[in-house]
Amino acid sequence: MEPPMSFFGAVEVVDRTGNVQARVRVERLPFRIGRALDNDLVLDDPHICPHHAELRGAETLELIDCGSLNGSFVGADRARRERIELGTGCELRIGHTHLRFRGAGEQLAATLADPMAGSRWLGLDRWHWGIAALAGSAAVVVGEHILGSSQALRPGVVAGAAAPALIVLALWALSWSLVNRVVAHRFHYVGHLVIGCLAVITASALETLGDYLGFAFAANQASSALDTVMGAMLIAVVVFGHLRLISTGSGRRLLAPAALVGFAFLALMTLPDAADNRFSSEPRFNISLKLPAAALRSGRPGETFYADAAEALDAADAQADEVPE
Amino acid sequence: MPLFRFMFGLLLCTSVAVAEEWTTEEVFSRHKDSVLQIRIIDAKGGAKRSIGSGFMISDDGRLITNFHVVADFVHHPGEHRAEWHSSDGASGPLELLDVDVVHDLALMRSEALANRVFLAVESNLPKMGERLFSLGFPYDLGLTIVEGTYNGLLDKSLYERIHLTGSINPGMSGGPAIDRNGNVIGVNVATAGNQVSFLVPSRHVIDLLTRDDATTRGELMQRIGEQLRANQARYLTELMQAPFATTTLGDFQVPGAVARHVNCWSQSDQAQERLIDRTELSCQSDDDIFLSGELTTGAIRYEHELRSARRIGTLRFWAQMERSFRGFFGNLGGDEASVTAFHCHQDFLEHEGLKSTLMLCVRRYREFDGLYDLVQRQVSLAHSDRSLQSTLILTGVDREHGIQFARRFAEEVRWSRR
Repeated sequence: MEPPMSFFGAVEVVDRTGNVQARVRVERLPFRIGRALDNDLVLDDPHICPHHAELRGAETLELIDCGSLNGSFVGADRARRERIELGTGCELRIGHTHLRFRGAGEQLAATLADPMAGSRWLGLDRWHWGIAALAGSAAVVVGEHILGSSQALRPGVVAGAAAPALIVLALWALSWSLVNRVVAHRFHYVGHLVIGCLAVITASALETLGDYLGFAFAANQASSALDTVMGAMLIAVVVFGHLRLISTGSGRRLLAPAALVGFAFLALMTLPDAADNRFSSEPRFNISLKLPAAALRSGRPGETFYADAAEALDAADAQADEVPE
Repeated sequence: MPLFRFMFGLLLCTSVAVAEEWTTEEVFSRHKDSVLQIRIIDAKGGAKRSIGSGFMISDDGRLITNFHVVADFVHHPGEHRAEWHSSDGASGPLELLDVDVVHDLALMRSEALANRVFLAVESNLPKMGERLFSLGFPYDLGLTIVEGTYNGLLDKSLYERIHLTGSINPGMSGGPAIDRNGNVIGVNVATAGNQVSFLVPSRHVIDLLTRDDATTRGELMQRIGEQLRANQARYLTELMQAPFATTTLGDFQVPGAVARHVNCWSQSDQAQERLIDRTELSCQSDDDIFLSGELTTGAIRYEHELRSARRIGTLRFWAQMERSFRGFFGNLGGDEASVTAFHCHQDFLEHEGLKSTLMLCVRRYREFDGLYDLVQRQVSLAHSDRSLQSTLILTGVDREHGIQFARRFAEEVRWSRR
């Protein structure tokens, strides 16, 4: 849009980091700047004179110092100036105040596209989702506590057992929100909370599914390996979700860091665990026992079971022939 | 030749024995030179690792002691040496000739002990209540004589043991128990405290003496392996030949005291505030064979645990069953040098309409080819509100007998369908 004929540009009051505190259009000349209220730009800076300077000129504007006590300066230059020719983007200093002149014909940069505008991820940042997700994860935590408890249930005890996990979830979401605030100047606490809660619910569901399948098919080791892979994938998705809420850029460039975190988790889980490798003089009956899953497969006759069990004896024989470390 | 020497000793003794009955003072004064202290010395530290007693058994310097006294010397000969010490202050080195690991006996020799007065052994058992005299070096306190009473052979024992009412104390292991005629009736081996002590009957000493000596450590270890294998084959075959004694636990029939030497105990936990009723039956033989300070073998232990949901849903009940299944509190001993880690196989078992999940874990003895420890755990899956968990532990068994027994045991768990 063309500026009106009486538009000469704008003077911006900026803070030390360059953020604009105030912006005043220059619509008539001379344009007076000072502490007095009859100025066009009134600055509450005690180091500025009541009538400190004026903008004058025709095609080219100039700032003319009106004999001020503390003078007028260009940018960080320490030389006091009587007249300063103004171009767009020219930075000025009077008293302790920083000004920036923007010319009437300034070419503006192209508008930045906001990838988050209308993003589905922002749909997570709704209170009703937050409450539902929190309720879901609370149900998971409470359910696991109830299943693991051999005592009669008391509401206080159950709530006490569930509280730490929920507090951790709240802090987790808060941490991501603060990162979001610092990096992207946004604060999607509920969105981050929903992602954390969904992760807890999904992890529990995957683990349960793995336990059931592992028990039904006598494949606890395979199911725990599958658990690890699924866990790594879940972590990658969760990290991607959090980054997506934070990032102002394209979602594609977030795939690499999310995948990296997933792989790092996988690597950590597949590292030989010192506790697992330590010699134990007790057998480990570390399997799941899920009665409903037993219906998926029939039992084997004793003869077959013990014929298959020879593998365990063979494995013991093979280890006996190795020299212990 | 050893048999001849032994027979000579036996005859000599018998001819003397009939003539007179010895007093405690006479037993002590006549036999004190034949009873020695056995010390196993740590080669690096130069001090005692273990002490016990022993007694002269021939005129060529052979003596008998317990295997458990010299076990460290057997397993790690490079790190230990064996010595004898007499009550008059003399001492000398000992070499190991043979062992009977099942009956906890060891045969040793020292040339310096040749021509020393030796004891005669009596294979016939005394009469019930007869006085016996046990000699040895309790707590390294010097040669001691203890008077006791013969109370027959243990009834509930897999291996022959004489029950002596008398105080055998640590350090007396391997010493002789002598009857009133001056003959060795048994070898001090163990105590249960409160004057309840046990002896290895002399006939096992005779068996050991009549064998050829082992010439190398390899041969010795091979013999130990053979003894263990033969022993487990014998008692497991005997067990398998007879029908298993079963007992009822709720809806289930389970193996009870399957042999005379297996002792069973039962307890129930049905306190009002509990969510699950629990009845437990645990059985075990008390006849472990000592292999080393860290490892015993030759045991049969099993436990049945019936749990019934009282005020608890199916999912919670089975979560508790899972926790119980995972918890195993029965350290089997041994270290990485003596046994492998456990290797397990798990699957569903179906027998006579009862479906259960069964997990069998085994580990092998590194020094004894073909010998395993076996732990089996089984959980019935027939009911949603009650379940039977049975755990079987067999130590020091071979493939054939161990697997046969484990299978029989698993299949003897039956649902009585009342």
